[in-house]
Amino acid sequence: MWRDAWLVASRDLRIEARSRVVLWQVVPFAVLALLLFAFAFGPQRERLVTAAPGLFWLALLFSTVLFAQRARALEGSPATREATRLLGLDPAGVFIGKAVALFLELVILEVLLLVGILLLFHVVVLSWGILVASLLLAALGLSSASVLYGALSGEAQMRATLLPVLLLPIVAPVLIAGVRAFQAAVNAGGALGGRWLGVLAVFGVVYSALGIALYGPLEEN
Amino acid sequence: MSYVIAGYTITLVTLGAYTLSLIVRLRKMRALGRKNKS
Amino acid sequence: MRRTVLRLLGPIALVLVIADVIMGLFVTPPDVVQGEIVRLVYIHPALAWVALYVAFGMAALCSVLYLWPRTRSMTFDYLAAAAVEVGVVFTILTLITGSIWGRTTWGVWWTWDARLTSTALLAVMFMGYLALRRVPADPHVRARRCAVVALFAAVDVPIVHFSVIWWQTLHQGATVLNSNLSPTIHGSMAWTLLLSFVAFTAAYAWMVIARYRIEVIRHSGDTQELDAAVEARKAEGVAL
Repeated sequence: MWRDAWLVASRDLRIEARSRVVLWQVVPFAVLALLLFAFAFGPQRERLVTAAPGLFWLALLFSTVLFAQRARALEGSPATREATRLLGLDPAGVFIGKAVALFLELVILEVLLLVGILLLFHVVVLSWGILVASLLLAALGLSSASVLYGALSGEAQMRATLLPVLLLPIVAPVLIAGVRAFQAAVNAGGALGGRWLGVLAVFGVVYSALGIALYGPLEEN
Repeated sequence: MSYVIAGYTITLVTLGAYTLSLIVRLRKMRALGRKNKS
Repeated sequence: MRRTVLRLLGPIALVLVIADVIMGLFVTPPDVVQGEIVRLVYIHPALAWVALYVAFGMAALCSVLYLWPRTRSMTFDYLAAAAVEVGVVFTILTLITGSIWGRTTWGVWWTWDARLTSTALLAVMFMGYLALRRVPADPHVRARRCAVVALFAAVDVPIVHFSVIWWQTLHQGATVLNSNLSPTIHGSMAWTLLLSFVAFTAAYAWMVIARYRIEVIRHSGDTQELDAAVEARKAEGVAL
């Protein structure tokens, strides 16, 4: 299983490195989201500072939908299907591989978005530990849920409109917890942040487990 | 009080409409089923 | 015996609901504190109960039963689908009646309290399930996908619920909005409240059975239609 995971992860990442879809499409989208939010809420500094945590996570969630679409699209090409079947890859391994690749891409996006938020929205973070932990835990849950829902959404035609409707309600807790954790990091509220990190952790663990268990049955046709 | 009436009315009308739609759909399905069999 | 019970369920449910309405609107007294507004307690909580626990619980349970290899059967898929569709109706009604109650009590059509927010999110998840159901696919594939969605929603709802409660209370501090306004219940009010739960549960039961039957008939028919759908889906896959 782990070998298959490594295989799939490196494949997905290599595809990304070559095609650079994330770099040229998802990142600009995320940055664009930040700009649009600034137009909507700004230009007064106070409002932006207050809204910043929420806007960060919103931009991240919407970008995650794009990631989920992308991850699914990678599996859908006939060549990939053929290869997967021939190699007899363990579905759980495929899931882990895809989720890991997506996790890394998400973390990169989080860093970029964070830099954007800190610079553009004048946010000062006091408790970096909480913030980093929240970003990592959230990325875990989001990547697992994305790969899983990507598998659910089936064929291309329906996927574009259906995937957001299915995925976003499910990741609402990540939004709530993430924003609160960010606020706790800004206000150095240790105990409060801890509780929200707990929510993110539960979400991450649950969806990783569900993914490993259900990805196989979902993908078999 | 009018709000209360509104609430009751909306509930009854909605449930009633849905019930009717179910009955109509069921009848239609059964008619089709009978047609296919013969 | 069973057929008789099922046949009678519809009329019985109807009678119970009408009885609830009459009791609620005319027979029971107005509340000391809330006045006439309390009459909403004879529909809103029961609707919420059916939507959030009965319908959703049934959908989740049937989905698990479908996914579990030993109990896998299309029956559970059809039951789950029926439960979700009826559940959506009840959920939307819960939100509407809850909103009306909020308007009369707090003067606003909506508040972001835990219950309403979680219910709204549940409504969206239900609708996502129904949207997924309409995607043409092999019945077993579709059943599997929908079951997974229902299962995830079931797993997620507790997480959402607690998150929203903490989101609400930790943020609001002093003002804890409680949508569960409990009037002083006594006598006819208590009985009518109980009646409402029974009545709406019976109505739900009838609706689910009817919807289930529709689903069964719909799928017992043409294999031609099915084959065409499978071919179409395969074509889509190749196109990608």
